[in-house]
Amino acid sequence: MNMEILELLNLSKTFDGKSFALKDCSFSVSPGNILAIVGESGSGKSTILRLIAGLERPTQGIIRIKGKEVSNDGHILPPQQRNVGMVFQDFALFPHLTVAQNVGYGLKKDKAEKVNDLLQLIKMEEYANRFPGELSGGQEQRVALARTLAMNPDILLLDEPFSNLDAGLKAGLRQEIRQIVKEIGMTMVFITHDLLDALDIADELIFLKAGEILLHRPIEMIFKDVQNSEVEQTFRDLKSASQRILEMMRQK
Amino acid sequence: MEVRKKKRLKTTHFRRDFNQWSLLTAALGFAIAIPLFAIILNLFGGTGEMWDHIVSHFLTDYILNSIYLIIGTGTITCLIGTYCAWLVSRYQFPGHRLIEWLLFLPLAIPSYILAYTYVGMLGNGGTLIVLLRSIGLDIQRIEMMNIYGLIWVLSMSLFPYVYASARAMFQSQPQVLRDAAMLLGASERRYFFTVALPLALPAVIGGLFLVLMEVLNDYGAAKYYGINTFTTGIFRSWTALEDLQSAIYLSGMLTVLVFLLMALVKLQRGKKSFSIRIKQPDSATNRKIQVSGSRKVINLGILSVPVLFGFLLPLLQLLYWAVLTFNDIFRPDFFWMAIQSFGIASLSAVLVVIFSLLLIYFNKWNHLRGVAFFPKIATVGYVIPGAIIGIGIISSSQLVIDFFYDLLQIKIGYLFYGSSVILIYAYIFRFLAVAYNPLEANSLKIGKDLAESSYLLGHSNLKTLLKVELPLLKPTALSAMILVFIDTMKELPLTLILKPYQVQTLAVKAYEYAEDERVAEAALPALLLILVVASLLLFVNNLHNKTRAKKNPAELVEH
Repeated sequence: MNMEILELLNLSKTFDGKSFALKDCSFSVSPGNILAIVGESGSGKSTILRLIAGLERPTQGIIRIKGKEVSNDGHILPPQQRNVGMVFQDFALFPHLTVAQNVGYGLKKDKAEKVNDLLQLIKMEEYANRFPGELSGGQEQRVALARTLAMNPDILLLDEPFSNLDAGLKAGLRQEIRQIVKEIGMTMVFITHDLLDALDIADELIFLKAGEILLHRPIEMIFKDVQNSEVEQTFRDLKSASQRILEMMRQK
Repeated sequence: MEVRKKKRLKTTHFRRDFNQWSLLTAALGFAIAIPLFAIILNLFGGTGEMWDHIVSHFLTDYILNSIYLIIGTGTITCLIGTYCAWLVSRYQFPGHRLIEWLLFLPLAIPSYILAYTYVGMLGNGGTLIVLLRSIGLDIQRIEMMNIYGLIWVLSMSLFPYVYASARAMFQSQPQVLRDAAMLLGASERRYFFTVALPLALPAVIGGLFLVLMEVLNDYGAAKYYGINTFTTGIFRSWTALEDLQSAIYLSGMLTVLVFLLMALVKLQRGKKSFSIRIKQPDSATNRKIQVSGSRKVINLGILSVPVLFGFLLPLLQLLYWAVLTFNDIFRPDFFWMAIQSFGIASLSAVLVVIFSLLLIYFNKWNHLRGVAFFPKIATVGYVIPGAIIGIGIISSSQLVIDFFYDLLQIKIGYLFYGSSVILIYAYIFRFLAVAYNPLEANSLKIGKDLAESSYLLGHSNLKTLLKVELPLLKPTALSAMILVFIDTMKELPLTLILKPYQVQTLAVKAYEYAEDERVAEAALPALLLILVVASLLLFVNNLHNKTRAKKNPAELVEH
């Protein structure tokens, strides 16, 4: 029996029929794991996420969630029926609804109770009646996460979750999100252009360039025996920056 | 001690901040808004001789009918305008670009002309009734000349105001909100009612406000259908009862009603403003949804109804009448009338844009805070029904004529009674906001940096305006000019009150024919009016689409 919660098989996507935003991508994620997809702008990372969520239609290939084919050449399941949650880059909170109303938007039963539990989980009970416009970026991020978790999705997708946050907020929130996701045993896929985000949270990592996967490994194996010259260069840059920081800290 | 210090500081600041631009802003703003001040001043002059007669016989009618029209037309235009805007903003179907544009076209037919065509189509021996009977349908005539008929006609004529503002709002809503709602399990219907509509509500209310202003401004349709409203009452008091003071009193009451509506709109909008803080990602904005075959037909069917009843059927009726009366009407005096109409509307449009720019920039160069009140008061004309402005000008004209003669020994009476100068002045007050608001918004969008760079490079205020800011404002000025031209061409009550005897416009001529029970002869001037207005609407729509397409390329997604 297949134990993977998410599987992508030879997935391709072209918007104009000529160039590929995503080319022949295959990977899988085990339940409870956190996968980071790292790549530059235009590498196809957002497309992967939107294809998994059902917001885009693949040109070719198969997507399986919990062993069920949600997208293949024959049929495509709409987003509402995939039980996939997504936190958008700009959070996409409904500006006219309060924090509590946003979190409870997708709920049908036991709304008040569940909303309360989730607000406790993200430590924002006292913000229940505020509007998104009255929150900081970090708070908006947490509300968007709670709203998605309320649906109890099989997979949690995060689109550049830290790109709109100040550097000071980022580190704290990265650990906070990892802690929340691990606490409830959720599977998470997130995309980022910042390798540090990925190294800080993820269990496994994919390097994407021009729609193709360059590397897919568990995080502890990431630096071992890298064959690809571009990935190697990225790691070298990271190493050099880290060494400089360490040196400066020592001098201090 | 502290109070005296503050007072002294205020005086010092006044001396420091007051400049020639402060004076010019105040003078120009005041001069434009004289009709409003005249109405307010005249309200203190006591009631007219016929006031008691009006109160006992007509006032209840004026108030109740105006309220029925506001509620009825408001509800129907909101429903039609909002739903059509939603359908064209969200769904892709064949001919969708054409229908998106056709839905604007009822604006090209003035409501009084639409009123004539409905009686011609559905009344006794009406064209449509005869046509339907000829194919075997047993259809009775439909009585249009009552309050329900007037509500229907005004709704069909005015729903594009709601449609235009709601459509702009729906199209600017980020796709990501819809994606988020879908992933949270929401259906399209739930997304519309819980997210899209609440966020578009301020725009819908903005459009609705314009509808209600037009309802209160309407004279021709209400007069033709025999419905007593405030505006018909103002005319009756002034012309039939020859009591200007009572007309002024009715104008005052109507102004209070307008400001009450304005306050309600402000109150609703001020409750909570929800700015959408989402950056529109390039590839994921405003995607239209491809729907199945049957849904396409249903959407097309729904959208065709207002196009058919607001534009196509009335247009066909007018064409039929025009063919019948062509030889009688299509004569040299018809051309002369058209030239007069275009001439007055063009000159008014150019002057409105010039005065708007002057007010905006005089005020920008002025440093005295309180002076900003004058441009504001100069732009209230758009919410004041034409009949009130007309009465305001009539009641203040003798004061102004005397003022010029006593102080400067200049006789200007002939300008008031013998030329179109006063009519054009009235148009400037009535339509200033149509140009002022977009020009001011775009001038703010251009920002201060460019002008300040120019000042630091040694250019004066005026030179900076001419060399830097004006070239950037050209497209806005052009579309504003066209919109004022359209409004002026269609305007009826103000023109009826103020036009000199020898001057004739298409709108007035169409009205006069209909009043003389020669409604078919009104068709040709009406058609020319519609043709010009529709072409200009198309031009402005294309201009806006081009600007929008440059900023925000829309993309399609299948679903």
